[in-house]
Amino acid sequence: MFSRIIDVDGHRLCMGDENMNHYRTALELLPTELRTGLEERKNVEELRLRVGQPVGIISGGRHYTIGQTCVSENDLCRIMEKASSASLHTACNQLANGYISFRGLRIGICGSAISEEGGIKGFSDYRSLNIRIPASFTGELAGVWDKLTNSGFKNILIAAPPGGGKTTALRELIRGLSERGYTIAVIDDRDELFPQGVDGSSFDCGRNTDVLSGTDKYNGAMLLLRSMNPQVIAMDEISREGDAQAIMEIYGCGAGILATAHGENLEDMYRRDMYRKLFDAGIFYYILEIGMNAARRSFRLRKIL
Amino acid sequence: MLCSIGGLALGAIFYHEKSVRAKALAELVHALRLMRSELSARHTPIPRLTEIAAEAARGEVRIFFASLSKRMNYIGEKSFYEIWQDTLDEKLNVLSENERGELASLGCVLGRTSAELQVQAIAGTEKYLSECLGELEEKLPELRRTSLGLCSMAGLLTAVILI
Repeated sequence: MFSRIIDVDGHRLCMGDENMNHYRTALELLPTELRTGLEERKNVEELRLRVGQPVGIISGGRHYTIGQTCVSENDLCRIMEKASSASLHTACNQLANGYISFRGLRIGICGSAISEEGGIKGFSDYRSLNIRIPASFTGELAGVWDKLTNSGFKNILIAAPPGGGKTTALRELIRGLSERGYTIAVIDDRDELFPQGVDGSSFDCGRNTDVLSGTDKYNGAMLLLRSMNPQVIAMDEISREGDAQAIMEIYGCGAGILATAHGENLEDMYRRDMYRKLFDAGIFYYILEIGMNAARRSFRLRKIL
Repeated sequence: MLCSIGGLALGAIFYHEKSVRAKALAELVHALRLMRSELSARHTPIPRLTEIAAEAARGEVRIFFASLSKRMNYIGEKSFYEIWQDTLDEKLNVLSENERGELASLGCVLGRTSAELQVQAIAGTEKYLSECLGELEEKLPELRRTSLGLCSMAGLLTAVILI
């Protein structure tokens, strides 16, 4: 396997108004006594709440502890109740996957899981929550466009470690391609890319984008190929065999693929069977590697030959 | 004369309380049935369920659910159970201690478990309240006679003693 590296300038991830709105929404979730010292913060990517510890934030890839008030289990219960509008039964599928969505925020859950028939049914108690604040870097990936769309769209895989900004980059690429006239269909199986807030708000997904949520990637891909005639299908976090199968089907049908996966870089991913098969099949033309260096994210676009 | 009228009025008030309680129980059973079917068919969120119940019910029960619906905005600052309990204490004191206790237990389950478990809990409360209503409706005619008779007798007796 060979690759040619095309560097795209690194960019600091900056929070715009859209992101600050999400941050304010996240603060609304917290009981008043836990908000102290958080209101004026900027560039917050995650809020970490662990029972018996003060609130933690992740900003620029670094962890900071805010205030002295320790989080109690009751606080976490109240947050979960608020996030679900006191209706946890409406979020069963999300809970089974260890998270709950609230107006475009994704809240990861840890605690005692209730397992039934091999799957998680819910949680009997909560020990920590991770509120992820969606970010966007509109216009920051400018260097990628010419390469991606020159003589037709080229399939691209975005790789980054957890919290590296894969979803944010994917969102930006979807919006950019859509605005450039490509018909994009998005399989948003975890309702994370373009979550619909209760007030109907969501991230701008572009003029030519169709978003499908509530189904897994394979079934979603089949549905979109049959019914929406997309030029490009986008999906977040390929991690299972079923996801890889969906990629194969899309490739076989001739639609373009825009996807993300956990991984440091091409070499790291090539070591894993599932991704190696995809690379060997020649499905992806580019890999966009996102690295973190201090508070700065760097993008590296590599052509896979 | 005044004493016996006073006694009669007391009896009527006593009977009226029981009849209001019976009406409230009937409205509650109806609202709970509606909530149960909504939950099992559509997994409706609790805020919407309270609105539906408020729209369908009358009297104290409508006030209870309407007030609960308004207070849902405080979720996050207060737990749903606290809100349910406070509203129950304020707006449904026409019910007996046991009936309120049964409803309080239901508040612990609503919104916190799977839809199936909530449906079961609502069905349990509905059954209990239906039984209470049945008993009360059976006793109501006799209660009317007894309370009116006893109270007017007491009024007469007071009048005789005073004379």
